[in-house]
Amino acid sequence: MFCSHYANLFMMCFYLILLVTGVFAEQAVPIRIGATVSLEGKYAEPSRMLQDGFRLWEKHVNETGGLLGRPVELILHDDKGSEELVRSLYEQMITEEKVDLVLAPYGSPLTKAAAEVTTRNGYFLLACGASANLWNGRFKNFYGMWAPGSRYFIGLLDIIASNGLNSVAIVYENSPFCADLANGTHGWARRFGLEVALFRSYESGKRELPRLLDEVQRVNPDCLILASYPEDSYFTVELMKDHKYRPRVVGLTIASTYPDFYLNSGSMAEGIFGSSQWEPDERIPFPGSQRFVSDFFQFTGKPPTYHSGSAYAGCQIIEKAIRHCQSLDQNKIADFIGSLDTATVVGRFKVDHDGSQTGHNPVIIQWQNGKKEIVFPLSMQTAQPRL
Amino acid sequence: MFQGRLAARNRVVLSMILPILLVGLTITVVSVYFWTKPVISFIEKHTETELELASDMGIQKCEERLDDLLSLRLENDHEMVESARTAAIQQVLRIQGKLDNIHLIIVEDNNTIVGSSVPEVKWEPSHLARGKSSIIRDVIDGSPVRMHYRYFPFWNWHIISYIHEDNYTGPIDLAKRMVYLVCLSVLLLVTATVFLLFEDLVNKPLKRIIHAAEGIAQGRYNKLKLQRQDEIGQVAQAFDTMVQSLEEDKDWIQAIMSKLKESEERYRLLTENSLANIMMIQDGRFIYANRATIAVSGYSADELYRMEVLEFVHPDDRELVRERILGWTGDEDLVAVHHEFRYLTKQGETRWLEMMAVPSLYKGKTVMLGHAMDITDRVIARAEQAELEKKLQQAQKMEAIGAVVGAVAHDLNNILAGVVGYPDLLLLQIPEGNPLRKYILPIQESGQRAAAIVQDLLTMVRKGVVVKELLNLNSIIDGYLRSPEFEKMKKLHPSVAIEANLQADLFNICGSLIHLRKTIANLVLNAAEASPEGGVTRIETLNRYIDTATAASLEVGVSIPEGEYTVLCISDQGVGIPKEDLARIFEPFYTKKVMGRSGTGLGMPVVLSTVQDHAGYISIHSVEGQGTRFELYFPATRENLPEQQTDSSLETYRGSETLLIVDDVKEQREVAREMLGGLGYKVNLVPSGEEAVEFFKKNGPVDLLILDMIMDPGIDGLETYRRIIALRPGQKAIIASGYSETERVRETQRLGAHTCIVKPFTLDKLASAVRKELDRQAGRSAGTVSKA
Repeated sequence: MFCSHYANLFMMCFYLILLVTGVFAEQAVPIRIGATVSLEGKYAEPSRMLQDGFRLWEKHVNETGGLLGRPVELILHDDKGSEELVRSLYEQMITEEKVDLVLAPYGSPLTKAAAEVTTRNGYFLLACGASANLWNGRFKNFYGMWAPGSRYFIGLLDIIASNGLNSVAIVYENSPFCADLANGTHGWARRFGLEVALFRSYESGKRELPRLLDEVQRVNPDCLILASYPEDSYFTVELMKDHKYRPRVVGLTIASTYPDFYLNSGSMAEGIFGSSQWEPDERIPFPGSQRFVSDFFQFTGKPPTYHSGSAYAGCQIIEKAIRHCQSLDQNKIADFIGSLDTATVVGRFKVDHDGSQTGHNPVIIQWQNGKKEIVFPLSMQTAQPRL
Repeated sequence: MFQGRLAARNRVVLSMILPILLVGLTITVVSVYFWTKPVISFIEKHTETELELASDMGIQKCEERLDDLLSLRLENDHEMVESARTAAIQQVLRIQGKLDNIHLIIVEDNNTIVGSSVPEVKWEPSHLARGKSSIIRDVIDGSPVRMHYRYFPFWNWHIISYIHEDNYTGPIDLAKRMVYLVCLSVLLLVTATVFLLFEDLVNKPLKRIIHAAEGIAQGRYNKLKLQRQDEIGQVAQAFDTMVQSLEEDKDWIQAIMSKLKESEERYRLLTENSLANIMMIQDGRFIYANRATIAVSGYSADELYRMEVLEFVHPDDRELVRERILGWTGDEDLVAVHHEFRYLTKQGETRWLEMMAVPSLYKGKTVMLGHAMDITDRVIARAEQAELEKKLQQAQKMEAIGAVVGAVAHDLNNILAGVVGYPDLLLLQIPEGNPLRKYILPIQESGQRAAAIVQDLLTMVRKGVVVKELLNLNSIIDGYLRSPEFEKMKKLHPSVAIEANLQADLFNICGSLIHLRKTIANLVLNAAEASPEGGVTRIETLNRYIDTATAASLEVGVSIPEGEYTVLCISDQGVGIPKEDLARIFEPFYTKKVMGRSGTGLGMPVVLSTVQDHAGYISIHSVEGQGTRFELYFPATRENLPEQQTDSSLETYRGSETLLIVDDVKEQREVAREMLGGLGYKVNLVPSGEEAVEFFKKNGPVDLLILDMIMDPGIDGLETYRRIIALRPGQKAIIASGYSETERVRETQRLGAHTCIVKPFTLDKLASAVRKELDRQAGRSAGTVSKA
């Protein structure tokens, strides 16, 4: 009798626990995080990489139980590379879809558009794909992951100058990111004692590039730095191949960091420099970096770029902030991020009072024997630069 | 026998180690040559790498500081930048402590030194290019340096690393010395190791083996008993086996050795002491020659072994030796060869060798084993014997001829006695102008010519009576040149001029006037007859001293004794004598002339016989078409001529003494009686020796006995004279003979019949001889011969 009584009691408790946990599970509302990606347009390729980084983080965080006991759900919309669409989509996600958090799109113009919406709606925004000088106090709770474009090629200029080269030509697309990069590069070139033999901008598109390359050929500088998005970069490489002309040093933005760059450009890719926010090199000792590279490859079937890494790292920072704040409060999270000095898979994260990234510095890569090598800074150097 | 220590160069250890040393030395030199450069290059590279490393490290420090500034976004913060500069300078200069002997300098804006690891460095930097330099040379603090620099653009710095030249080259010099030292040490170590190993493993066992072998030589049969399994051990084992075998066979070996020694001694005794010349000839050279061979050659053994055999052979016989002895190749079925040939001694003497040679094999090659004897004496004896035989044959020939001639002459002389004697008697009685005289004179002349021929025959067979009297050739020649015979000859040969060149004080000679005159006449006549085209025939006389050297140069066929000679030379410019005739001109009856008085074939034999009778020599030099020259050498004497005998007429020969004429030929007896009776002598005649003896016994002695020598069938003149002087010692006698040069004539003369007259005698000669002998004081005069 006594035994039967305790057995019944045990069975009742067991069923009660199963019932409670099952109810809670069924009742946990996902934390919805909205963002736009460009599935078409000139930002499409880096934007896809950004998207892959977001998705891997979503997978990782949900595999570990989500955040605040809730699963995480990414809501991604295609902005088609349009700033207007970005504005409307972010407005839609905040006001209509009531997403808990938003992530920034790829590209400085699109990020700026998104920042306008989030500032207006009291949301914080962590930019994982913008380098233009957007952090001028205009947007509230707006933070950048990347070093500004003006610092992209400091390392390359240092390499050029220290190896006795004298002149540099700077050609850039007339866009915020590229202009910011070109101006910053121009200033640093003069600071390193280099002669800026050519400084030209062009309107987006391939139309002006042949003429500009002719002009570069006439000036024949020691170094050409082209600030552009991938399509123009590939086109310029084709032009140099056709012209059978190539300055001794060529530095390209964005495209040269793609894993497929060498595949797409062939032997012309050999020796080309690029500026990267991060490189998936096993020798880079950032926490979780190796695991990220490995998981990303398993997840997507291709190696990550700094865009993917930055997207994943941005999500890591948000995750860290939510866990610290145990809340989805926009201001609490924004304050925490603004005061954070930490290391992610892509390196140090530290912002100034305007939200501009100050802890992270870009690296200079060079394609050597079909492989990307980090040639600057010295602390992360995987190979000596070849001029 | 192992005697004494080996010469150093002969020692195996050295002969093996020296090549190793040479190879090692070569390897060392090559190693030094090939190693030095890479080592120096390595050190230079190392030092240059350190220099580059220093500047690279400097750049790295600067880059780190720049990275700091960039990371903090403080690159525009002046205070921060200054701080970073200061830190960079300190960190750069601190690199010096990490790299030996390398100093660093930081130069800003190409001319300002902002930092130096060496305090108060004095250096005026030249323009430094941007970028990275190569290793360059400069002078800092007055000292040459090697430097490298890199450019750091952020602060416009040149990070310079440098090293003083001494510190740069110091390690190189040290490296060189180390290379040399290491190579030399390795060489010495290897050599010493090889030497010690060789000494221990090879040399010492070898010494033991040598010592043991020496012991065997001294009769000690000690085994080595080396316990080793290598080759030396095998040798030692074999040696011990040999020793054991030697011990076992010691007696047998000693017996064999004894036999060998005995055989060797026999061989040496046989070969070295052999009177025969024993030699071995291989490849045209002597490879062995016994003592006798060496002795006869006059060379030393070494000289002989260095010579070719043909050098040893007389040039005229080299072909023979080359073909018959040296030319044997082994292909021919040759048993032995036997040859005589001449060889040359070291002193240049030509000698004869008789050699028997048989081919054999020696050391795998054909060798001629020669057994030879020096037969020089035999060859000379043989030649002399041949000469003697020739002379004997000639003598026998002449003897036979002489016997015939003697017999004929005897008979002819007897026959001619009347022919020669009676015309004299008739002419005495027939007055001048009587027509009968012209018939008698040819008879007289013919008789005299016949008698002359008989005398020539006798001279030729050397049976003529020779009177050795002192003569002077000049007088004889003078007499001949004034003789009717010469005048007659001149008439027959008018185109021939006769010139006489006679030495004034010509030495006298001992000889026969008649024969010498005959000789001169014959030679002059021959010269004239040999000059059909005319020319000059010269008669010369001269004194000459012939020494050994001169004698050798004279072509007289025999050696002339050294001494004074009177030389008679008769030369013509005629046709000369062909060579083939020269050897025959002295043969009897050999003539190229028409037989007759001037062509009897007796002229030159008479000349030769006369010269030989006078112990003289003839030299003939004749060139066909140019003439002939005869030189007759007569031994000279310094005796003076006796006083000139005055010519006597028949009246001076008259006498009244009693004479006994002994002759078996009646005509001779009658002629003599008529001649001598006509001069007043009392002449008795007997036909034989026996009757002469009886005449003495019956009638007593006579004043003079005239003896014929040959009286058949009774006793001859000698025996007759012996018997007579036995009856009456000192009986004067003269000999009347057909020929004078016989032993029995000379014996008769020795007994006392001094004068010999040759039949057929003339009145003048007979009367002269009779009177002379009758007038001669006993013992005053030697025997003489007078011819009709």
